[in-house]
Amino acid sequence: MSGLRSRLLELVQEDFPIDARPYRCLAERLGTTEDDVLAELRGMWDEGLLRDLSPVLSPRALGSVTTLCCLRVPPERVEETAALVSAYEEVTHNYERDHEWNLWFALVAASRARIDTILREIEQATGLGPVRDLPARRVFKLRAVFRMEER
Amino acid sequence: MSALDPRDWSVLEALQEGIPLVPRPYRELAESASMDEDEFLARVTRLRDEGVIRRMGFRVRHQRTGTLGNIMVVWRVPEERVESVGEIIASSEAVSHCYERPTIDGLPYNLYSMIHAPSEAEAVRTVDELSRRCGVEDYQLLRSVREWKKSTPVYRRPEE
Repeated sequence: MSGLRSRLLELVQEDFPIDARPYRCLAERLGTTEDDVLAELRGMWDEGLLRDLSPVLSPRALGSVTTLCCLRVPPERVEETAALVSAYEEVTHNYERDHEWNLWFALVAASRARIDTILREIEQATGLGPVRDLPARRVFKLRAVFRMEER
Repeated sequence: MSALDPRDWSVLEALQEGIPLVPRPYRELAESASMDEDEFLARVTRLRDEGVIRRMGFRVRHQRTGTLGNIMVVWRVPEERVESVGEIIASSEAVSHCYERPTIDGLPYNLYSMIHAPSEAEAVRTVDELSRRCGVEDYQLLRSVREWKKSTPVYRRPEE
């Protein structure tokens, strides 16, 4: 990854300027031009390096509720169960993991009641028994910013 | 923190559509939110300062930018050590998330963490080092076999 690209990727992950000309601000910090910054970002977007172009909002500040859940799914039923779970807009992450509890999914919902409804629906639709619901008791760290290595 | 007013929600809705890659992106977003650029920028600044915007930044697909070792690690920590162990794990650069969660039958682990490194071998080494540093030997690695969904949450203004 080029020097400009890796530095730009780090900056836009956590310090996107709030300014009428944000790409010019980034260019000044990186010693390049606004056009170059825009071209580089368009390239990274087209290549799928950026997952979105929107800031990270706080579920709690917006009145939303989050949790992490898991289910034990027989191997032959993982695909259909994963599809059923993923179909909920409130399910933001859904991973199959190499563990007895093999399907792990995270939810962000407008209320605890909405989460309960979704989990009961999943239980009824799958017949796989209770979904294990593991809401965070305490947050020690929440900071998904990735450092880039220059190559 | 002050309550969000309808115009704040208009700003948040516009931001969730994505910041366009044009020289004056906030002017475009402000237009879609039916306000002028100055008001839009002032509201974004305030929402960031109040923590409604937790991070003024985009999400990257880290597997595509060279972070190939990504493992969920769950730790079984004695109740009285949760705080100190949680802090040690959280202090590692390789850790993006670290939470205390309830234990249940068959899952007696109370600390959950996400570890990231350039390769899986490096991620495993990091876990090993963390285990020694915090003196917790009862832990499990849950590698992802398949990503079925990874999306950005959608927040909507509450209904009247």
